[in-house]
Amino acid sequence: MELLNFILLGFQSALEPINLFYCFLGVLLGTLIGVLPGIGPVATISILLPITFKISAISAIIMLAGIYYGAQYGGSTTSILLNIPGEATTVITCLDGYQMAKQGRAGPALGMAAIGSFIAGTVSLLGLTFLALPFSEVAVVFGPPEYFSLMILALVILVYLAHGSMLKAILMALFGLILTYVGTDNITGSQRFTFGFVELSDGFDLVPLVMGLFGISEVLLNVEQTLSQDILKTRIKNLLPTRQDWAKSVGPILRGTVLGFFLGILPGAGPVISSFVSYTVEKRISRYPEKFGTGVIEGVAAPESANNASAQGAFIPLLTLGIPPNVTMAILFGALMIHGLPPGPLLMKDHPQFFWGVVTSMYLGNIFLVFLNLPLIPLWVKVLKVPYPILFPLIVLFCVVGAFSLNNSASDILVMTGFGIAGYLMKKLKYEGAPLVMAFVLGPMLELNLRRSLIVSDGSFFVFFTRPISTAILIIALAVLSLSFLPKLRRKKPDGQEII
Amino acid sequence: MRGAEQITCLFWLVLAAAVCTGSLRLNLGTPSEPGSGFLPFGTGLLLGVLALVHLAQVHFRKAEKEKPLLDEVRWKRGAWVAAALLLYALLLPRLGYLLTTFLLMGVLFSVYERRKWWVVGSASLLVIILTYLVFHHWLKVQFPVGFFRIG
Repeated sequence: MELLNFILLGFQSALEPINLFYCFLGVLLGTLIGVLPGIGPVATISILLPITFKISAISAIIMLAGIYYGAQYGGSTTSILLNIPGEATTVITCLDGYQMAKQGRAGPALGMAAIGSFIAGTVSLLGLTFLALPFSEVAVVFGPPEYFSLMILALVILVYLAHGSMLKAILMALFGLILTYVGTDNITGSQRFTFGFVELSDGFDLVPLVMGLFGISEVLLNVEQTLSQDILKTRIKNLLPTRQDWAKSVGPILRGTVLGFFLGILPGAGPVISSFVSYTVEKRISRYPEKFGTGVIEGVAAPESANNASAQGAFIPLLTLGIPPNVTMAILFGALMIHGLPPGPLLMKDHPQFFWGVVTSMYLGNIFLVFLNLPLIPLWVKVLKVPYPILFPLIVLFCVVGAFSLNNSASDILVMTGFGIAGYLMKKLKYEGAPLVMAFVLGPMLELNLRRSLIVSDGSFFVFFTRPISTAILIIALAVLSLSFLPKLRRKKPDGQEII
Repeated sequence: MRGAEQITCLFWLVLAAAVCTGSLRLNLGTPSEPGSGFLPFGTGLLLGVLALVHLAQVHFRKAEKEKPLLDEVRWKRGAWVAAALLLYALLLPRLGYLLTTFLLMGVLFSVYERRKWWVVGSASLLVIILTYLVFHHWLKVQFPVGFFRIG
């Protein structure tokens, strides 16, 4: 009964015209950037973050969340029509989606991607609605040692799932931690690594850092190449799948939803891994695995459902535990902090209207997305024709204005450009940005909880092993680390895409 | 690539040394009362050890066909964009938003291919007018006006 009241409270808030507008704007922008290769949700959310300071917290988070799950829908369009994934999460959709388009079945592929995404998104939202309360009740009993262990687990899983060298991922996470030490120490109030610069006394801001690492660096990489924009010359007709398509897709959609949802909750996994895992599962259990990659609809339905379910599931650890499971959630974590709403078990208790308003807005967002994706596909195809030489100056300008408006300071543009160049070099040298950002976001909490744990235990590191929840979490982290010594397992991971 | 990797390892080592030294100057404290430098020192130490391990890995790795880091790509375009952004950040407080952004857009629109000056000029003008209206008038972002007090 209590849950029903909360849901009604949420809808009351989400259905306010202003929130409805920002929800629509978010999913529209999400679809747009999902369609456009070269800019993803991480960059877009970081670019738009400073602009959201001018609006209410609930509208801001509704919009930013809409961008995130909206991008999962939009990304499939480019995968199917161009064989270029709009997002890392839709890489696997290229395999069968593009083949279907070549066979003149672009319509059913796009249609099934949108419908599968809607079903998965809605089902996993139900999961989010029902699991949020028990999760936050468990999290209330967490103390500093449990939080410290949980953050260690999040970092370990993220590092383990890094697509390249694990050592490089750890180095990046350590670099991210070091960046958090710059500024004023939260406990003693002393200045650390500021070198006398007043601008550094508050430390580095998250916004210029992620804008540089994900927005500017992506531009620097893309301007080096001439991006091909050859859209497959095919007529997009019959968007609604046939009865036969449905029969083949129901199972993959449901399995993709369940897999995606639970992998989304897991720190470090996220929509990319979910889409790859669900595709692999479908191929393995299929009666005709040899046909995967030649244009089977299951190869579109499963990963597209999984990535959407995962995107929604990722909100559970963020909103209830205050632990972002992936880098986009890490930026949303920053957004919540900036808006004065620290995520965690108390968020639901102290701000129920906000919490349930955001959750229920996602139901509305999913409905908007079906209408944006099915009838408007011809429009998105036209958007794809915007040449990159015209698009990228606008992306850069948005980054510049976004960074500047944060503190009305040009030094933030310098910081953003610096991290942009660093991000460019990192990508050239095959270092991932995700562990750095996760460590940067978790760093201050990690340090605070470590120091608090040590103070209350009188300096004993055993405090992390004498409390059952903390011990269990650390054992899981250790098990994940041990897995990395099994090279065969690591080799099987999807390669070539950044986990975001 | 191997040379670049070795340089990166050296960068990590220098960073680790700097963080450890800086942490010692702060206050390490004790485990029961950890000071400001406690965790930074541990992080720096771990970074240094792992950088050494990585350096050894790179050094003893079987020699492969070397692929230059910036080969076969038009990296100069990226360099133009980065230089334009750095210059933009320095000029923005002096020249103001409208003039500096007009110049930045001019450079960015010309990075891919040479276009007629009036095309680049009109496109840049259109962009700064639109963004000025949206960000300054609608979203109330306070842009610098610079020496010429434009904007």
